[in-house]
Amino acid sequence: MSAYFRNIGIAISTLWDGMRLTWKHFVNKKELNATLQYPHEKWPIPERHIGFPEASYNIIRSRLHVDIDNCISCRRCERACPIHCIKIDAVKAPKDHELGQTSNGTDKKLLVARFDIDMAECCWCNLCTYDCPEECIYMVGGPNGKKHPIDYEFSKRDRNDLVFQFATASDEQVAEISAAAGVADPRAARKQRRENYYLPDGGQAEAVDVKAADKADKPAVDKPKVKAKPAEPKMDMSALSVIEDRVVRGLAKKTAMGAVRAGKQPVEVAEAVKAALSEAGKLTAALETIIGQLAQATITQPEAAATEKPVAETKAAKDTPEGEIDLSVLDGITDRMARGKAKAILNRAKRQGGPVAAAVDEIRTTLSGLGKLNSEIEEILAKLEG
Amino acid sequence: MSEALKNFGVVKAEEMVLNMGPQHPSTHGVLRLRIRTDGEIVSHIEPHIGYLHRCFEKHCENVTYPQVIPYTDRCDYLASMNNNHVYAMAVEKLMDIELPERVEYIRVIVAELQRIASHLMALGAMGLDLGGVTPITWTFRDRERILDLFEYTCGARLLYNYIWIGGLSHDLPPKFVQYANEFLDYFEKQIVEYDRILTYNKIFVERTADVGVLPVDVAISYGCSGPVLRGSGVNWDLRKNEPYSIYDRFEWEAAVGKGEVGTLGDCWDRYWVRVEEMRQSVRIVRQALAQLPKEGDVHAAIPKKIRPPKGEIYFRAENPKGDLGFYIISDGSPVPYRLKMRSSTFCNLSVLNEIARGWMISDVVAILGSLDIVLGEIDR
Repeated sequence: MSAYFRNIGIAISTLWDGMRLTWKHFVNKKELNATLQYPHEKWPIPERHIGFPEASYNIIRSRLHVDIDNCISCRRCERACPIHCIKIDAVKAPKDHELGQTSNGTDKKLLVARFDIDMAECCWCNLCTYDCPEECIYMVGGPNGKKHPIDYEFSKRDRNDLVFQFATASDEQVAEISAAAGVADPRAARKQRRENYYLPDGGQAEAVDVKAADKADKPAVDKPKVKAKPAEPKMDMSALSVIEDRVVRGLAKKTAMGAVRAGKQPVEVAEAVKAALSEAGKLTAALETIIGQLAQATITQPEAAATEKPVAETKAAKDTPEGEIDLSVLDGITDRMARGKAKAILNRAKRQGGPVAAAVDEIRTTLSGLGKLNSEIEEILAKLEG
Repeated sequence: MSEALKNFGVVKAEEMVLNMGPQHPSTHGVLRLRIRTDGEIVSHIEPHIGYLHRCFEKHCENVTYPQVIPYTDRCDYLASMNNNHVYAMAVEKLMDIELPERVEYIRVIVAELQRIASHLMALGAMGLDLGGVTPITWTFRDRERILDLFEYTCGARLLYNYIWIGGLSHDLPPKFVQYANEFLDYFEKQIVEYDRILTYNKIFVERTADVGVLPVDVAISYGCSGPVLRGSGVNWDLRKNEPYSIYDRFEWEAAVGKGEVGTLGDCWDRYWVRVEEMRQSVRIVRQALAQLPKEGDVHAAIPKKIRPPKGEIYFRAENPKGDLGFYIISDGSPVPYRLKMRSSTFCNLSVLNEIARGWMISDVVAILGSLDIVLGEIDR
C-alpha cells in the first residue's frame, strides 16, 4: 500500500520538477533560446553565441576560391581531391611565350586552359588547399577574408552554376599557345565534344562524312541513300484513299497490302479486298467501283524498282534542269501557311518535271482560294514566271 | 520477460509481420525492422540494413591514405573526430610514427568533446522516441556549442577531416582553451538539468527500467561494446583496459551500469552510462586542457609521403558507441590494399532480437534508442 502511494509521490514530484524547469526556460527564453528564426535573423557566420572573432578562426569552410593569376597548374589540388571534383587542363607554353610570374615570384610555365571546381560534388575536406605551393586555392572568409570576403549561403538558381570556372585565359590565347606548342587546343576539343554530345554517335560519323566528302570533292548529301529495308513489291493504292469511312479505308488498305506482299496480281488483290469488305458487311456499290479502279493499278516489282528507279531519277534530273526552278525564291513569303503551300506545289511540279508556269497558276488559284493571295506573293510569283 | 507479459502471451493469436522503417522516426536513419508480432508482443525481430551502403571499404582501396580520412568522417557521422582518431592511430602504428605531445593532447580533447556531442544526440533522441520532446532541444543546443568549438578549430561542424596521419590539420586557435573551459563550466550544470528533466523522470523511468535486459553472457557473445556492454555491468573500456594515446595520464573512472532503478542491463542503465560518461569526459577534457603543452608543431610528424611498409595492422579504440576497429593491409603502395572497419553499432544492433523478444512494440523503440545506432556506420 505504502509502495503504491510512494510511487504516485515520485511521479508527481519528478513531473513537477520537470515542469518547473520547463517554465524557467519558458520565462528566460531570451537567454536560453535554442532556435534562431533563420531567414529573418542570421548569425553572421563567424560570430555565434560564444562570440568568436572572425579573424581568429583557423579556417572557415565556406567555398573554394582560386586566385588564377597565381596558379602554376601543378595539379596538386587535383590529385589531392578524393572525389575528383577539380578539373584542370593546362598547355605548356613554348619558350618565347612569357606567362609572367605569380605573386610568390615563381615563373608560370603552363597556361591554365581550364580550372573547374564542381562545388555540388565537393565534400569540403579541405585537402586541396594544403597542398597548394602558391596558396592560391583556399576557402573564402575567415583568415582568408582579406583575399576574398566570406560567401554566406552561396546558393544558386541552377545546379550547373555550382560548377565554378576559374580559368581566365581567352580562347584566342589558348588557341595561340597550343598552336605554338604544337598540341591540340584542349578548350576547343572540349567544346567540340560538348557540342557533339547529343548526336547519336557523339559526332564521330559526321566527322568521317566530312572527310569522305572532302575526298570526293562534292557534298555528301548528293549521295544516293541506301535503304536498309528489304525491297518489297509495291502497288499504287491512291485509288483507295477516296474512301471516306476511316475504318473501311484502313481495312481495305491493309488487305490490299497483305495481298501484294503475298505476290498476287492486281485483279486478285481487288478480289481479296472485296471479300474482306463484304465479310465485314461494309461493301457498297460505290466501294465496288473504287475497288475496280484498284484492279487496273500496276504492281512494281522489287528488282525492277531497285534497278530502274535511280536511272529514271537521273534521267529526270537531266531532262529538266533543276537550276531553273529555285525554291528559295519563295522564302520571301512572310505568311507561313502560304509559303508552305506554294513550296509544296512547286516541289511537286519540280519532281514531276512539269512546266513552271502551270505550277505558278496552281499556286495562285490555291492561295486565292484560301484568301492568302496578296501583292507580295504576286510579286514573287511574277519573278518566278519571268 | 516480466510476469505480466508472460501471462498475456498465453492467449495465442495469429502472428503478423510488421515492417518498421525504413522511414520511421525511431529507427534513427534508414533501418527497417521486420517484426513478427503476436498481438502486440514481439516474437521475432529481423533488422534489414544496407539502405545507406556506400562501399566505404571498396572505396578506400582506390584512394590514398590521407584521402580515406574524409570517408571515415562519413561513417559514424555523429562521432567523426573519433573515427578520424582511430584511423589515424592505426596508420601511425603501421608506419611507426612518434607524435608530438601537443598533438596527443589536442586529439584527446577533441575526441572527448565529440564523445559528449555524440552522447547528447543519443540522449535527446531517446527522450524524443519515448515522448519527451523538450530534452532534444536542450541537448541539441549544447551539442551546437561543441560543434561551434570544432568549427572554430577546423572550419567544419560535422565532417571535420581534422585528425591527420601524424598530426592535425590545424593547431588550436587562440583562446580555444578559454572557450572550452567556459563551455565545460556551462555544461556541467546542464547535465544536472538533463537528470531532472529526463533521467529521473517517472514516466521515463517507467518506460526504460527493467525493459530490454541484456545479460552479460549474451552481450559478450554478440560482441557488444561501449555503453551497451558497460550498461550490463561489465567494466570494459578500452581507454582503461588497453590504454591508447595518452588516456593513462588522466584521472577518471569508466562508467558502469549499476541497476539503480531497475534490473542491471536494462534500457535505463544503458542510458545512464552515457550520462555518466559525459561527466567523465568533462573530467578528462578539463585535465587535458590544464596539461596541454604550450609548444609543439602539429605538422611536425606528418610524413612527406605516406607509404606504409608492407604489412597489416588491426587497431581498435573506444568510440562513443563502442569499439571501433580498423584492419589495414598495406602492400607498400600509397593506396591501402584492403581496409576493413569493425563497426561497433553493427554488433550492438545484432543483439536487438535477443533482448526485444517478448516485449511490446513500443518497448522496441525504447530498446533501439538505448542501443544508440548510427546507420552510417552499420552500412558503411
